[in-house]
Amino acid sequence: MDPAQFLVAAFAASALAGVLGSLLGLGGGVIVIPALTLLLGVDIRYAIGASIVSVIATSSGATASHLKEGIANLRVGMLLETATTTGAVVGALLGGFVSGSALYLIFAVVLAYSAIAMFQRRHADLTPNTANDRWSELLGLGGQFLDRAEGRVVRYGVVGVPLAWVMMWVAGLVSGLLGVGSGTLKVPAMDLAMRLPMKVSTATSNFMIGVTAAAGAAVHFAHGDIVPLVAAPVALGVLAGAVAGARLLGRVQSYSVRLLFVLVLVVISAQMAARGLGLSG
Amino acid sequence: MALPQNREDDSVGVPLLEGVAAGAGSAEEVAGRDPALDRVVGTVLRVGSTVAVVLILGGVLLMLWAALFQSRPLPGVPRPGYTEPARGLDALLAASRGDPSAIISMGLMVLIATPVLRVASTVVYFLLKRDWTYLAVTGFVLLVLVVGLLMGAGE
Repeated sequence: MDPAQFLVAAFAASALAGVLGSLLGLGGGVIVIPALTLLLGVDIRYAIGASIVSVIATSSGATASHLKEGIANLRVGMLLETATTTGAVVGALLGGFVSGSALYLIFAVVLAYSAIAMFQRRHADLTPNTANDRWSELLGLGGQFLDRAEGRVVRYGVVGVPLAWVMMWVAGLVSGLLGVGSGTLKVPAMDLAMRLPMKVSTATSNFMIGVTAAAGAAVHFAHGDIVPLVAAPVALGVLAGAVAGARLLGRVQSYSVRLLFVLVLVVISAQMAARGLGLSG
Repeated sequence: MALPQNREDDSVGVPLLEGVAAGAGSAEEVAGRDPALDRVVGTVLRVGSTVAVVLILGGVLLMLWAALFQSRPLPGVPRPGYTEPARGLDALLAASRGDPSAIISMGLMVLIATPVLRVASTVVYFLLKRDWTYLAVTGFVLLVLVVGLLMGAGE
């Protein structure tokens, strides 16, 4: 494939990743890495480097849009970032010691569990949780947002903070190791443990993934994993997609977002399991 | 600061905010907890992304222009085994000479720095607001990020 075709193809794939990523609270890395390695024949190292860039681009682009809608809960995000960044640095450090296959399998199992749990909760937003746990009261984590799709203001409380903190630490660990944003672990953590409304989980995850990726980015940059020809179209494509996708989030039904997410989780879980078992590249 | 109350008499969900008609109204009418914080974060992210995009897009266009009109070929798609040297400060020098690849690298560095700058700006924000709890929270995150950066620089 000649470089010019590559630029266009990478841009297109990344734009799609950006839209899906910003709708689901992912960094798009879980879409970008397979697209680059399987479809465009890029070496995995550079795909990971580009993935880190895409995660930061999605995060920045989507959050800047989400803020106008008031959907992201910045306090929850900032609090949980203490967990994700710590986990990410440890993950980057562990990079050389943990077997890749074991990690893929663990990831696959966690994702499968999240998919099942989220599928069971798909109708949960009809009565949002308004209770707060001790930590949420202390730190003022509850909030409200205007849900355009449902045409009303939704007020919510936050529970399960300690459990979410631990889950976020694990999500950060996986980020540091695989170079993804781990939105696929963050969104379920907030949805299931903290019982945040689905759209808030998504927008808050988008907010956090940028910092999580940045925590491990310096190490990858030093290793030369981030090359201009690959990272540039990915960054531009994802940013464009993320900004467009963020506009859609407010207008989409929470139920639809949850179902789409469950679908993506199942697909990614299967891919990860295949990797871990040595069945695919 | 009033937290949402758990009202027993709610039917489905919670009632609309007074004065906001069903389906109408804008996000501005929904009082965010920290509108000033939202502005700070939003500005940093928008400015950072824009500068990064300008540099990256500029670099790509320069690269394409050079390929079309100056017969300078585009770099090949990295295959397994290809090694690109890490570009740090030398990219700054190369960029000032108009090297498109270095300009793109600069843009990528700005993109990576953006979330870090966002955290730094929130640290300053909470310091000025004297919110010691969130100053500690965001300060801790910034510390961890700096540790991460140092580890990268140390390699």
